Amino acid sequence: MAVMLAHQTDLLPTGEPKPATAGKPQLADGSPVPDTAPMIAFDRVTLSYGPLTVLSDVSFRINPGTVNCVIGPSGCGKTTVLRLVGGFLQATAGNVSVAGEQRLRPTRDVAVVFQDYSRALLPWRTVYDNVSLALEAARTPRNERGDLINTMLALVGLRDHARKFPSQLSGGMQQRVQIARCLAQQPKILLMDEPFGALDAMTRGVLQDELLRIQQERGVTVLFVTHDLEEALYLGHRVIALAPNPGRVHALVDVPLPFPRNQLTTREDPLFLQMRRELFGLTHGHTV
Amino acid sequence: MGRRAVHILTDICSIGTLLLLWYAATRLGLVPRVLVPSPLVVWDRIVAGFVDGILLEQMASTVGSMLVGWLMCSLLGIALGALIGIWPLARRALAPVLELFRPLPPAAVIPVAIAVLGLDREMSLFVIVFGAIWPALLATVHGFATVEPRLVEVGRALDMSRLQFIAKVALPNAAPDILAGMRLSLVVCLVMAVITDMISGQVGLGSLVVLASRSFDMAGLFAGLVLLSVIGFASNAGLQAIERRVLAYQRPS
Amino acid sequence: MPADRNGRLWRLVDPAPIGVIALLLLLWQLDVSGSDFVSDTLASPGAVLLALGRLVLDGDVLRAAAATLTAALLGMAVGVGLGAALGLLSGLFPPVAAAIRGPVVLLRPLPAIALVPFMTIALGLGLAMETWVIAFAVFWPAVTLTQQAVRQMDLQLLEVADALELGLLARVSKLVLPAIVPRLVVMLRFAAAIALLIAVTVELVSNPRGLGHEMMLAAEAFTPAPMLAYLVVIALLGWAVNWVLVASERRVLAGMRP
Repeated sequence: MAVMLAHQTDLLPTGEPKPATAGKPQLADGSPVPDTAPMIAFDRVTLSYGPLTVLSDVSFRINPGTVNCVIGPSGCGKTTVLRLVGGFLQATAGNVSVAGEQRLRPTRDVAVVFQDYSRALLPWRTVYDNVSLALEAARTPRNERGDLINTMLALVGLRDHARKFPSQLSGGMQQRVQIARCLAQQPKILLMDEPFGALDAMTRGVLQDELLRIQQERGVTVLFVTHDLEEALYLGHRVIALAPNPGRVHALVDVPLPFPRNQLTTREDPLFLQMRRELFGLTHGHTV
Repeated sequence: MGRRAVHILTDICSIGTLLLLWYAATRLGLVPRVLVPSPLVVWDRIVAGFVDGILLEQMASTVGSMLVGWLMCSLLGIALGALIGIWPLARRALAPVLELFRPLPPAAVIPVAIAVLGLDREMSLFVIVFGAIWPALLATVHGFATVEPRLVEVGRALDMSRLQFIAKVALPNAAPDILAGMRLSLVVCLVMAVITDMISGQVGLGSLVVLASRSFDMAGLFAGLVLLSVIGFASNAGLQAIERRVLAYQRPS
Repeated sequence: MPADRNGRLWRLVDPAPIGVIALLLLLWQLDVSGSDFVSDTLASPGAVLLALGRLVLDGDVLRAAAATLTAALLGMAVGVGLGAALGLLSGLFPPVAAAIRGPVVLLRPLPAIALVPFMTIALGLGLAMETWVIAFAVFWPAVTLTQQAVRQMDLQLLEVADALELGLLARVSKLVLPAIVPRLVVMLRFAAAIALLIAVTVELVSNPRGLGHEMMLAAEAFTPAPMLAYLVVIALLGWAVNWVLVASERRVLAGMRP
């Protein structure tokens, strides 16, 4: 089964997606990922600050219910792509749309998980109250909040730590609190900006698997920025590889590895290793 | 808990030693009796002053002025500081101007007050508030101006209203700064209360000390000083205890 | 004057606070010319400026400022000298720190100004009384900040002192003092501000010398222009002292950089 690389993308020159080919990635139950209306669509997006062009003519489509990993060397605009989807930035040219609507400002149905978790949590609130913040902002009726918060805490495995403060938690647990708060928004899209970058390898592995489990359960669409190629291949249905100076799409690669993924077997899968070999140059600054 | 108990015990011992030294110095004539009375004499005077109510009245007056002034300047300082700290234009324009007032002695407003309306009870309160507001005000401005930028983004991502953000994020974030500023303001309030008493001759420990000195009543003078120390110590310790409670989340257990 | 990147000079100075100050001065001027009540008790900015000029030329301001500064300096010399010494000892020897903690916590909150009547009995009115009141006020922050500075020292330096078997005097002069100079400078700036503040306050309350006294005299004589002129001088003095200390702080710290 061929792996599409480099200058090959799954978009036609007109910007529309190519028709489906054999060997497509699958959902956990074996059914193919649907080619329905895209959850996120970038249409010839360009972002410049005066003479500096951060993103140039970036186009791709993201299907609902999939995990999509954005990789690339530093300066390629990965975080900028995330912030455009988040609505924190506006494109200079081209169109960014979420669920068919143009993305103008941040909304609650798109949740953001930041890398610096300790700065993204409220240190004066307990774990429970930090998650509650999302519901307070959404003005969810008080009597509905408790169940929702407890469900989220159970989902990330922090039920027993609900009354603790962030300063009493490890890095991995703090990141889980942030994820729980984001999930409490019941978002359509989860944006994650190198969320596991500041954690040790073991915790990272645990959280990767938890993310996949949660994603399967909830069916959220995930856009995951990382500089770690192996993490991108492990997590994603799809990898979006960006090249720098200016930031542009280098390749859009489907990852047809089977779900559920496994830290041991998936990472030893010959296809995994092959894709890793072939994509290595992209993320380590080699130009084609 | 054990460590704190040891600390308190040590402190009691050291203060006791100091008192003993004081007593010894007066007993042995190391300090002129006409200047420094024996601690026993001072103690008797304090007790007598409380029994007949005069000292109590003066102490209550000073404490009252201090607390009322402090509450007013805290409320005003926090309200104004919040407004200035949150609104970037106001902050740019006003914060440097406010900083200009920092090196001014709080007491310097007293001559102006005297010239305008004279120093009665109401004016004293105004003087206290005006002199003591700066620490609370400047600390609040700083607290609101330095919200963690990541939290601002979290607020945007959660689509919080401005009011929600101020109440749920900006204000608690500024709490450590505000409390520190309030503690400094309390110190200044006590000082200003004493000064206004001294100048205007109203009921209070400040005027007690002045009047006692005029009649060379050293026991009374020292009694006043002791009580002022106690007020300063107790108010500061009380506020620190509250601060510890409110900011308990900062120290992981 | 340096220009910014785009070559525009005025961009370096933020117009917003200057605008506010100008507005306040304007309101002050209008307010005074508008009402009778206020003109009895306050003076216009113009009148204050005139009064200030006159006082400077007569030498009154210089005399008063010199008196205030002298007291502040002497008070600092005594208070910081004693306080830093005690702070040094308590920073180096935990038993000392434990012994002084109680008395410090109890005596520090006593407002220095409350000591004026006592000091007046002991030393009469004048420079000596003011000096000792200031000394009392700066003593406590000097102790606390010096102690903190020593405690925050790199422990390895103290181990070096042990290894070299240095006596106390050598240890302090060769290792401890140089190591804590940056924090000592910060402490000095803080102490100087307090010294000046207390000096003016003591003069306002009773001592017949210095800027505070002159300001109070003007107030009691219902001459608002010189009163406000002295207020301006007091403020200027505070800024000037702070500016000088910040500049020397930078000099000292720059000289210490490798």
